[in-house]
Amino acid sequence: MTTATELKATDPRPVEATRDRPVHIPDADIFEADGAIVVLADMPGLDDRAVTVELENDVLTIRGRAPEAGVEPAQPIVREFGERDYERSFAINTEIDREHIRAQMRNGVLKVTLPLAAEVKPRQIAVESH
Amino acid sequence: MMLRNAYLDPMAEMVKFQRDMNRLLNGYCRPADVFPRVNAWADDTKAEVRAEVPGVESSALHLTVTGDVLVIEGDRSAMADAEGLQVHRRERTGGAFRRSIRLPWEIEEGEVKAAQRNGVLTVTLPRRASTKPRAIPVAAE
Repeated sequence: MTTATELKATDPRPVEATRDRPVHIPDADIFEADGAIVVLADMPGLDDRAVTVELENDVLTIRGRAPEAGVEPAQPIVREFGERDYERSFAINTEIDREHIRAQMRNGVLKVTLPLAAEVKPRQIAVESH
Repeated sequence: MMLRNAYLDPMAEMVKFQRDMNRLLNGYCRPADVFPRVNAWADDTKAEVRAEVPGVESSALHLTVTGDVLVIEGDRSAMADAEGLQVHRRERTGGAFRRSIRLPWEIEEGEVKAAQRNGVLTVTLPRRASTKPRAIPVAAE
């Protein structure tokens, strides 16, 4: 029997930012395939060094720090996004093989692979007689 | 995303004004609810357009330039299409997209450069030489 897997996204903790820029919640997909939970999060403009992934107890937190924007090349004519950091936490309600978590950045998308822990095998406990 | 022709549509300027006002009231630089989000800059000789295309392969991006309009088209597969996928959360939008950006002048088609890095597409577009303002020397008689 597989463990029911339920993941809940929680808003970033109400922390005060030390940098004068907004912190966004990245759009994310979460699915389960091949014995692992996979989290995909859009963080355009960030490379692998700008992103941190942390699993503390049952909370997976992903953070991204956008690089400082340089001088604007000219007069803006369309403006639909600004520089921003990213932060989002997920509660992981299932057993994860913590030794084999992988994270990679590709084309501005963070992919975190959380392998499910091998199912706990039923164990026979021998009853000793004295 | 609509491309309105300012000469044919007298409401275009009103719509643009309304949109600008909404953006102002919503807070400057609030991400727009479109894909991809676009920033663009222009001066008298060149323009730069940046679009956020996370998860889009360069091979799935198609750019076309006609007159003073840059069109960015592409296809994004948001999630692996594997069978037996148990989906818990789906927020990233997928599918075909198309944006067109009108610049203040005609573009020199042959000299447009585009590169994609970390999910951000950057296009540099020089102004067509024949449309650049030319200083006319005044001869003294």
